[in-house]
Amino acid sequence: MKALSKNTYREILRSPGRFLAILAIIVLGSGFFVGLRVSQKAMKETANTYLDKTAFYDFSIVTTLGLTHEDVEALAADPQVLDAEGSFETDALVNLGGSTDQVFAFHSLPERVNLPDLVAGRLPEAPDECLADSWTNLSVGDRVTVSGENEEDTLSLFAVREFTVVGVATSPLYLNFERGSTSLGAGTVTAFCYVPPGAFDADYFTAVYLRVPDMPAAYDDDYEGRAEALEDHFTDLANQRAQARYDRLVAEAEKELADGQKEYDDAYNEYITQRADAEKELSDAKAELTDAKRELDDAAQKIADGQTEYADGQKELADSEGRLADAKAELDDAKAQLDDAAREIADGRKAYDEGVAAFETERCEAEQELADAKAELDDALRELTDGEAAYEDNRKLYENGEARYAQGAAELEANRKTLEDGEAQYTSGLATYNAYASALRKNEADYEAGLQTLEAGKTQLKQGLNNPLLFTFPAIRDTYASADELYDALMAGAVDQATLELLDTLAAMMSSELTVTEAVAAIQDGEATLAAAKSQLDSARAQLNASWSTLAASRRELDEGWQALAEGEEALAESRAELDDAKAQLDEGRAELDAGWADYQEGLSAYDAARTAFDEAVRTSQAELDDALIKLRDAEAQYADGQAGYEDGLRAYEDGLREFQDGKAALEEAARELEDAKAQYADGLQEYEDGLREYEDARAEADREFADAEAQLADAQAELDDARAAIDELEVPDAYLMSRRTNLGYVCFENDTSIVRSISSVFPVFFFLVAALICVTTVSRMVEEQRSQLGVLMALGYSRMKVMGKFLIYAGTATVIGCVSGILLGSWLIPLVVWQAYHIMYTFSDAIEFTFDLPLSAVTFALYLAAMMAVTWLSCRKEVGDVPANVIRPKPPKAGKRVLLERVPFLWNRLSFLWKVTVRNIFRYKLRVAMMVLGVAGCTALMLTGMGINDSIKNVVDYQFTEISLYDYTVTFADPLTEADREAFMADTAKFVGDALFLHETTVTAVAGREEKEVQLSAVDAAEAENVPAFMDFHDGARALPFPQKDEALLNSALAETLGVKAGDRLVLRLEDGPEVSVTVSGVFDNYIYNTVYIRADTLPGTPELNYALALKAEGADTGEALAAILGRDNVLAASSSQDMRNRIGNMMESLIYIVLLTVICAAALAFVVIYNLTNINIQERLREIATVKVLGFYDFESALYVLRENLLLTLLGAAAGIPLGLALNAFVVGQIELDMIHFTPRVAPISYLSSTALTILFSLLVDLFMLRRLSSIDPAAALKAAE
Amino acid sequence: MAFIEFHDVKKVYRSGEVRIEALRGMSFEVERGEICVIVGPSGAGKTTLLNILGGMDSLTEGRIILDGEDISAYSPRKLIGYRRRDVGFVFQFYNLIENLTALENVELASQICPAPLDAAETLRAVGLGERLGNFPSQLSGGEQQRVAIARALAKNPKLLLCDEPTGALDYNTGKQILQLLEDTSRKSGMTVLIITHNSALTAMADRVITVRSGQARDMRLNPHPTPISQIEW
Repeated sequence: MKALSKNTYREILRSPGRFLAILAIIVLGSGFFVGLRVSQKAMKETANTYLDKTAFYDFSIVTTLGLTHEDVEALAADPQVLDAEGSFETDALVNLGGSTDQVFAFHSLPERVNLPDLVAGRLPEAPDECLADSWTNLSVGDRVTVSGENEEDTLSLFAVREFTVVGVATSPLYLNFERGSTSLGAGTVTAFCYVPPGAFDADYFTAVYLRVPDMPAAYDDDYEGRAEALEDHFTDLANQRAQARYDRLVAEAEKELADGQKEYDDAYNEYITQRADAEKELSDAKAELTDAKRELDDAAQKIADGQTEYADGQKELADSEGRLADAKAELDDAKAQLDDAAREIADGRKAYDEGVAAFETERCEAEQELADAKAELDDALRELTDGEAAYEDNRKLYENGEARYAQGAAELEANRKTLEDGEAQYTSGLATYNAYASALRKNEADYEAGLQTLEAGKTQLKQGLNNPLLFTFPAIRDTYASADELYDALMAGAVDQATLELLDTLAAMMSSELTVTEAVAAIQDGEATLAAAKSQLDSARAQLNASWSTLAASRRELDEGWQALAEGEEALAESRAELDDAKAQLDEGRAELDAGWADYQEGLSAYDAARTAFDEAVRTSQAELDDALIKLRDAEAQYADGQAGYEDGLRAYEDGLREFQDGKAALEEAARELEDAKAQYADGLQEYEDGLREYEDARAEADREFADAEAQLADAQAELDDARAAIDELEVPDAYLMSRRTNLGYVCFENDTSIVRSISSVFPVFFFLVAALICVTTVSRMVEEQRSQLGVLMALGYSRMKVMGKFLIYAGTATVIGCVSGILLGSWLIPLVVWQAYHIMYTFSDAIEFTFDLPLSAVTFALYLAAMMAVTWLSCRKEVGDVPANVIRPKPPKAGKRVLLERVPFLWNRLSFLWKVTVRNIFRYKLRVAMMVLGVAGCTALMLTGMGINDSIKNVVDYQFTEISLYDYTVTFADPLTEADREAFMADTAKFVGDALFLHETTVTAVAGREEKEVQLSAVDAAEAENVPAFMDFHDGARALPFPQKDEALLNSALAETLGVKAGDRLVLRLEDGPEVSVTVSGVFDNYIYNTVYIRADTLPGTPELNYALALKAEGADTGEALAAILGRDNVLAASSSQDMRNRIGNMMESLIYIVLLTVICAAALAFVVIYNLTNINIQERLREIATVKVLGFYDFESALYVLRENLLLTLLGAAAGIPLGLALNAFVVGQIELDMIHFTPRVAPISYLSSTALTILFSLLVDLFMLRRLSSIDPAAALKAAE
Repeated sequence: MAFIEFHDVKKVYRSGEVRIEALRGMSFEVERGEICVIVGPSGAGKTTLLNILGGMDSLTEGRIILDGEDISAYSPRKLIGYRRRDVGFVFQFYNLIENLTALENVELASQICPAPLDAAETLRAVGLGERLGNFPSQLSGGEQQRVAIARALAKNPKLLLCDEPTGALDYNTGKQILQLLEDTSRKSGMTVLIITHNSALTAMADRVITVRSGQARDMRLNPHPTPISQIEW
């Protein structure tokens, strides 16, 4: 291996994720495309193989009278027929041992056409063996019994009624699970059952199946064309067989009829003879009886006359007896009344006397009471007057007290004033005393000070004198022995002047302050002054002591005054309290008096009122007593009159009673005579009646015998007539040619496969686009990573092609491996999965036939390879084209840029910082954004489409049968209905059918311009038009459409679209038998199932026959039973129920679920591949950035979000973009689905929007979760590495 | 107690049978507010030392104390918190986010830490007041490194770790960047660790640690650091 190849090889191994992403998307894309395309083909091939193996018919012929061996032989002889085989088929109730019966479709076991395919066991050989449907759970050895519940007609078709299952098989006639409907049981056939022809007791076939030589494969486009081309030929053949069948049948019937007619004629003649004899005998007996009857009637008349007379007499007697009794009763009443009156008068008298007495007593008592009351009132008046006087006295006393109190208070106030004045005088006196006292103390201090000064002077002098110097002087020494002596002399003035002068001189010499003389003078002055002061002080002290005693005396007086004043105030307060008490008592007395006065006034007025009332009562009572007396006297007079009248009446009554008793005796005699006559008549009558009974018995017996004979004759006649009529009615039977298109299983299979085809036409486009984008991003990234390496290679001298080859080989390897494995895997896996879904309904083959579509695979492979090479070349063209010197240098990192959003500060400023970073990063790599959005949008769109298909199909059926087709059944009648037929239909099916709309239905060709289309035409009588809305709700969107008028037509939207007409346009309807009718389109109604034109019956020429009905189910009826009841009627050709249609579509839905699941899985794969690939590249490219962010201290989750936020935002964007894309795809795919006469409208349910978006987000989050681990493992130290 | 203490730190990388001892018992101390230059030849363990001190890698043995906290005992999650709050990184290749403007690059760091400085202010402080709205591709290398320093400073970290901060710059620009780091440390008292193989830079440091073969061979205090403007190399 060359070094460069090794490099490429290692590159793949080094980044397996990246390589696998490309590989995976290519596997997905090519696998899906090829797989889905191949699936439909494989399904058809599988079916074709099966149909070939079982020799499936091309045409079948059915006539209304069946076919015979002669017909089969004649048909087999036709050169266009490869093989023909007659088949007998009938539905019957069977019992499998359980309590309820089921309906089986019995087929005669074929030998050449429509062979059953054995699943287990063997084919039946003996007549009592059968082959069971593999769809049931019957197995070999089980028993199938034709139920006794079947009608005799059905039972008579079976020669054997008990079968043993010897084998289990599938049948080409029943490709899917549907077994058809029936007029028996619950209306649905549960299984087919093959029995040998010998098991049936029938001399005809119900159908002949034909195979045509050299037909193309089933479901091949050519097949239909060839079959259509042959139809005319076989229709002719069918009609020939019908005519032949008719001729044979008529000839046989005519012969039988002739024999019958002869027998009848003989029997009739014999009957006529016997009847004449019997009639004669009976008429003789009748005449005798008539005579006897006449005699008896005469006797009866006579008895009746006597009876009448007797009754009259009896009546008269009874009348007079009645009258007497009345008179007696009247008399008794009068007597009783008189007695009552006498009693009443006596009572009245007694009552009156008692009343007078009572009146007197009451009057006396009342007067006494009044007098007592008066006396009490007078006493009260007296007491009140006394009370007033006492109150007045007390009041005077109280006022005197008040005056005395005021006087005392004034005196006290004066005393207080005096005392206060005294206090003031005392205080000033005390102040003066204190001033004097302090002055005195000061003078005494001055005196003491003077005394001390004097003493000091004396001492100084004595010290001075004590100076020994002095005594040196002889004058002194000689005179005075001591200083003291000198001093005393000096004081006494006994010192001579000379000595004095000496002393002064000495003093001056001694620097003494004073001379001795001055000192002596001063001492003497001081002594004099002090003596005078002493005397003054003594006198002042004496004065002060005198004034102190005066002050003390006045203090005592003042204290006594204060004491007296306090006592006076206390006394005054006491008298105040007493006065207040007296006042309170006075007020109380006043109040009592006032109350007394009020009571008195009240009493007085009460007394006056009583007095007045008493007088009134006395007057009234007296008047009443007088009235009563007058009435009493009147009553006594009346009583006397009544007594006289009564006695007259009594006498008259006794006379009448005597007359009555005489009449009664005479009448009893007449009654006895009448009884005798009656007894004789009764005997005669008994005899007559016995005779009559005998006659009537004989008559009745004769009549019965006649009737029997006539009835037998009439039956015979009727049978003959019926036979005649049957022959006359026997028409050439209708012959029908049926192609494979009439086989439900065959048609359903083709329709169902179309769903797969429609899906295969869109989905792969996505994968292709996404694969290309993934390739571009991956290769671009690789080129960027290995830029310098490329430069090195180029510098080493490798050619550009070689250098580029590395990438081409890389992408090419992925494409080749991916395409080959994708195509192989897809061709195998997808048909397998699809068949898994369809196998639910189509059990004829367990495995699908794998087909490999070589041209398709080759084209797919070439397309992918070319596309991948192209995008790879585009991705690295720029780098490889550059000069090596540039390439070898690292490319500067992609510079940051402001994004457009930043120019919208309103929005930009609202984003958080980290979201700003995210937005900038998103717009940094536009290609990746496009790819991510496309991938995610594709994911959402795929899911929305898958779910949308589900919604569209499911909803259409609901919508059709709940909002448009309101009827529950459609009924097709064999013959036109008369008024009576319709009534009979309604009456007979009343238990099942609530209401029905009868109409004319036929097939016409609708022509509009150049467009022609065969459509169903429904014509409703003008009179019935107003009932239509109960069965069909015509509306266009929300707008209700009225039923068309004459010469107008309503048609459904799909038909209008095909024909290119709209409301107001003209439309020509070409009828089957030629004439054309031109109508105006009055409206286009919403409709999804069938193409129908509705018109009013009078639009058509002539009177259209009613041959069709829409019916509503009766309340509570079972759908299946109702359908069976309708199908069971003679005239009904076909009937179907809306419920069956709904069930059919419902079953189809089951397989759709797998398709939806498939799209969801694909979408998930798509999302995973795209998001994984992009995130992976994103992370690798920004490794250093993420590491730096980690170094900055972002936690793992924060740094992951730093990257994954972009994914979240793009996922949301992609999901949003995916919704319109999904809607468009859904519309396209649904438009591709074709089902028998059903038009689907794309619809998407809200839940589908929600779940497709939610799943997309979920897938994205799963990838993010996976990436979270990768991001966590990035080492922050990588930030330190040098730039690549 | 010193601000940063390495006690006999060992780091062993294993890949299969091969066992590489990147640090084999490294011990040193750095005081708060110092500029510390770590020099040594390639493969001496400088970057491993930085990774471990920066909370980006775990150690095999030994203890690292930063500001009294034993960061060698931190759980991985606590280490992220430590990077978030306490460390500012200046890379050799700036590691600015291309898609963010200068201001936004700084905000990216300041927005996640508890007490950041104002981003615009910080950029002005590094002399880029006029270039707030420019993308990295519109800035020169020196300007980009200033943005990176501003991004580290805006977190208001305890410690500034610089890995060959001038490695990708020309002589004059490199000098300006070192001047900026020196001013920052002197002005704000931030502890700055500079890893370099250029021993001329040791002159500017308060402390120089020489690393060789996974061990601190020499630790020298420089009582009178030379201002960066006077260093030539």
